[in-house]
Amino acid sequence: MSKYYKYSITNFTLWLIVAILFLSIFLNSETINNWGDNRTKTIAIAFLFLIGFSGQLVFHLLNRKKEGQIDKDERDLSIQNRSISYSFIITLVYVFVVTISIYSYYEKSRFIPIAWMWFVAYSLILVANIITSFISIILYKKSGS
Amino acid sequence: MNNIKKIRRSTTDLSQQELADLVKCTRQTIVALENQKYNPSLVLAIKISEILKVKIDDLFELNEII
Repeated sequence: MSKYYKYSITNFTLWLIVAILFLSIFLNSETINNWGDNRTKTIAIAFLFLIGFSGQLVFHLLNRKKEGQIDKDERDLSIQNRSISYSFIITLVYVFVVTISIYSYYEKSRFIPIAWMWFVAYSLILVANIITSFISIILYKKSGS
Repeated sequence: MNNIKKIRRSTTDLSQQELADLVKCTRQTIVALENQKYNPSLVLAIKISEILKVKIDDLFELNEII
């Protein structure tokens, strides 16, 4: 298993856990309606993302390149490029669908809770990481791991 | 389709890891190549053919007629 295949699996698992915890905190009406007043939840969500990024950092520190070792080659680069390209398009579609859905839902009330802006911003990081890793895993599997 | 596995085994004593080190790629890429799961770049193909001392034509063959 190459380093970047391992990284994709770790990244996918890590951000999936963060996404589940994020959604469980975020998706209740109390959080959305009282976003500005609920310091504990905003800090908890920020902490979740800190865990996600720290996990990536720890992986890179634990799997540092040793002298003379080749840890990335043209196949890894090709897979990374393809997964980022696909992920870019999917993330754009995601942002479009979410923002237009929120707009349509709140169009009549002419008031959108600010928490939804935070939701779009946070979930964008989750979607980009999860989709990129997931597509990388599929491409690695297709090209023999 | 490529004949890397056949040529590597019949003409050299190189392991997959040794071939990977010589052409500066990972062992997983050599495994993927030998299992016909990855098409290399022209640069990698030339490097492999030079290490295995065969012509590129002997190493690769086109299955589909375009």
